[in-house]
Amino acid sequence: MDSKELLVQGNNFLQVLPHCKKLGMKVITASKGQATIELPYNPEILGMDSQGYVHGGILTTMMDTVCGFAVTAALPAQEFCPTLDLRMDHMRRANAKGSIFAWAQCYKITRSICFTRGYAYQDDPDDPIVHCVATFVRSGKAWGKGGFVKLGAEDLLL
Amino acid sequence: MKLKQLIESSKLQDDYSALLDFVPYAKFIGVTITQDKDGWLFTLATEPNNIGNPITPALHGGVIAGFMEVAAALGQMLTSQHPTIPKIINFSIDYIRAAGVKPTYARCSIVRQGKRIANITVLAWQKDELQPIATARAHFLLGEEV
Repeated sequence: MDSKELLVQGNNFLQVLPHCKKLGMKVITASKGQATIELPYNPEILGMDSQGYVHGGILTTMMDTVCGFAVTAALPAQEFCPTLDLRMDHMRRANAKGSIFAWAQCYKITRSICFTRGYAYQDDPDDPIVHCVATFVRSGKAWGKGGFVKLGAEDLLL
Repeated sequence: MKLKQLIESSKLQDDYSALLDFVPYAKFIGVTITQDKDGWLFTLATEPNNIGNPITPALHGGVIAGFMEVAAALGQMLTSQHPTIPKIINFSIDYIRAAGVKPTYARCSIVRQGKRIANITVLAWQKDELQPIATARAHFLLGEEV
């Protein structure tokens, strides 16, 4: 799949995920094993002190989403890959005054596991808000007619 | 009202709605707090907008993480003798079982509360507390007393 097709696929994917749709997330760049998503400002997602900072849970949601899509953009088929674990390091807080961007890359795939890393930023990608690493489990299955179907050998290879 | 008073009055009245009003994100995903014999119990309501995967269907992993971060931060504030607004340093989550679209619960334990940093673990489950859907660990930076 080329970048243009991945972008369309990514935005269709976010449109069917209710939580992502509610947050108004959009895929803005996509290429093999990489993606960037944008989250528009929303006063409902603020954290504790009403000082105008976005809650950490929103950043985790963005990173889980973009890392998951980077996995999809790296694999040959639409393989179902649930998150195994995820770690966030918060460099600083996100101001609630404009979009937040999250970039992720799937940097290694084995027969069982997909390894991803990424970060989120506001104005400057070189000054991230958070760094994240996450791993995803390959199920060997994809959603097809009537439920999950096992993928063939050609869809499991890279 | 100062935060310390807000926490004290919430505990006295056993009504945490005013405290939750303080955290827009907690309301956005639908968190409530109650107290039982084992301590503070955090509940995430069944909310269609919290769905990540509509096919299986399952809650969004990020919502589960956000819920557990809310539980860790508020649990720390409710437990502390000198409540401050905790600032997240890092957060690590392990997903153990698929999370269906049903009420989800969490409890946190304060592993260590130092002068500057708190280490907190959180357990989340749905049907059975002995069959968790996720475990998490968080470090918070503690600021000035408020």
